Amino acid sequence: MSEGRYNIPKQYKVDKGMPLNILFQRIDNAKCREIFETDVEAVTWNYQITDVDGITDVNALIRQKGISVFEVVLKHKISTELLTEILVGLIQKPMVLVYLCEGELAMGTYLPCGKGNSGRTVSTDFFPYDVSRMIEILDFEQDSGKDTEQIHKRIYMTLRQQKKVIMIEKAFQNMKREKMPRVDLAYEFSMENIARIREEAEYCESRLRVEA
Amino acid sequence: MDNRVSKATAAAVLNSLKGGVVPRVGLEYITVGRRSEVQALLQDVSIIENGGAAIRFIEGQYGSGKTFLLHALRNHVMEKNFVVTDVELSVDRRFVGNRGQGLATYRELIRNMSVSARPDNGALTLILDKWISAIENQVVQKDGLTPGQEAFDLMVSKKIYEITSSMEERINGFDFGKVIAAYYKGHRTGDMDLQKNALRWLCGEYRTKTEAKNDLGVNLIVTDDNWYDFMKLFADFVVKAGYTGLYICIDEMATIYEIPSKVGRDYNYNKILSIYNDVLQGKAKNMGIIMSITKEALEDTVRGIYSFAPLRSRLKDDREEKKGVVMLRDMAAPVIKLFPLNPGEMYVLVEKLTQLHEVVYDYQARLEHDDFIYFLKTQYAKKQKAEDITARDMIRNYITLLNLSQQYQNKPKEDILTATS
Repeated sequence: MSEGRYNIPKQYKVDKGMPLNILFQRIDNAKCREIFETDVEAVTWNYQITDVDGITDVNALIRQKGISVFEVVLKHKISTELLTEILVGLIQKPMVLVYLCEGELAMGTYLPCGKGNSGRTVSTDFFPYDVSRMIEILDFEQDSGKDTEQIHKRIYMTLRQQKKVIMIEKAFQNMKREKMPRVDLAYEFSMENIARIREEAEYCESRLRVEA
Repeated sequence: MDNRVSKATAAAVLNSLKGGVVPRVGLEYITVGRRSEVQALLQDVSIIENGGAAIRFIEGQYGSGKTFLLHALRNHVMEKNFVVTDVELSVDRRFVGNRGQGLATYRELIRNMSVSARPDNGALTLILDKWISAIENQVVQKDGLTPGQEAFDLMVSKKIYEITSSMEERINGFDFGKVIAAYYKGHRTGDMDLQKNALRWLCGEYRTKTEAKNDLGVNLIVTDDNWYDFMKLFADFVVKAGYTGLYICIDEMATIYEIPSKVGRDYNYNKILSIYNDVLQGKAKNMGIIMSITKEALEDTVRGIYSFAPLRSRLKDDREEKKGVVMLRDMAAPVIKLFPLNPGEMYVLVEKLTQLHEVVYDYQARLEHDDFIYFLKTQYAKKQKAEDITARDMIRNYITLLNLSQQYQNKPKEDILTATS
């Protein structure tokens, strides 16, 4: 039961789909509800990370204190900060949110800060490069021997760091794009260049063809 | 373009490209902008022909032509009397895995074995049967014996066992030779079950050693751990059976990069390392391996092949780019980087596609020099960055344009160009 997609100790598979229509009805703000109805495809409670060993019953598991990992599949990319805020409002518990959309991934988390406080949230942007890295944010080696509270704090810090990394990488990506040398189409389509490429293509054709 | 391209080949090429997949035939007619890469890979083929082995990684973004190059080489070496085989890695097929994914890769490689006489997979039985009949012919011609005579059977058996026993010194070669000999025995005695069992064993279908021991008298089966040794044995065997060598194409290596656990990825990278070492240290003979991989899957130092230090130190080009100095590509390096086709190369490609379209529909295409340029310029303008456009996208759009211009001959071509661009 503890074997799963994320590399975390004491994780238990829940695999519980959330009934969206009930979830949507609980959103107070009409505009937010509309966004959710049109853009969220599925919300699944995938894992529960707890400090208790040997749980075999899912009903007992979901009542255990710990960190809940939810996967939110989106039809279109929308602000992950907004999504995290709304989901925190709906599901008041320590959690990690994994947003999946168009082959990209983003993550968010909610860390409660004691009674009376609103708690802290953080969420990253979508970024394909980090699909890989983010799954391993939940790291067995780093987290072994730690309790769920410590694990959750580490996840929170990692996501905050990750958010910065993504922002910096995106900024650099745009800078690189701006500095890309423009292709000289006049030269590219000149007869001289095309004749050279044709000749090379003929060479490849002759080398690859095997005479019977 | 060569005028000898047949209508069937031209149609197969265009249909596959329109569907976004790499054609199986006629690739040489549309190979553009890959001179250095083709030269380097053909150099490898020449090494393999002379008893050596070679391994290459083809690196490029999605749609840059990695699979295209793999298939072009596959077709070429198949015509040069190689046994070729290919596998597309996936969740169920890896180099190694805890659910038999390595063995699944082996099974796929055996299933996909092809030779020029059977270009579309399933050539293993043909290879074995051809080998036996070649030996039988040899006995008829050289020793003057005729089938049916006891001496004939004895002489053929002797030659068969000479070959199979010559493989005994290789790792797992004893059992491999024994199974090949069992296949021959089944052929000679008409024991179809024995032949089937031998084939099952060679295809990696035996689950337990006991079963293999009972059926074939061997104490070994193909597993996740030893399947690569059997590929080497096959390379050795196919040469003895009269072929030039074995050429293995492994596509979608990015699958390994997508394995969520580091442990799982590292197991696979370790297997790649041992194959790489094996090939370059001369332990493998008459065998070529070519693998396609995306840039991220290779160069990502967190999850990619470069996250595995022994492979990074072997594959990474550590030369630093210097400002104002043109980086020269070392085509003898194990990694061949595929760069996106530049606009001039795309021009020649669309020109070639137009010629193929003319062959298929037997007509004179209306699109010409200025139309090619107009089409390409609008395609490049669609995306700000030329590198974003893959050859695959461009080709599909252009074939649509060609189809429409042929189907609506009464409409001005400018209208069709505007509508499709």
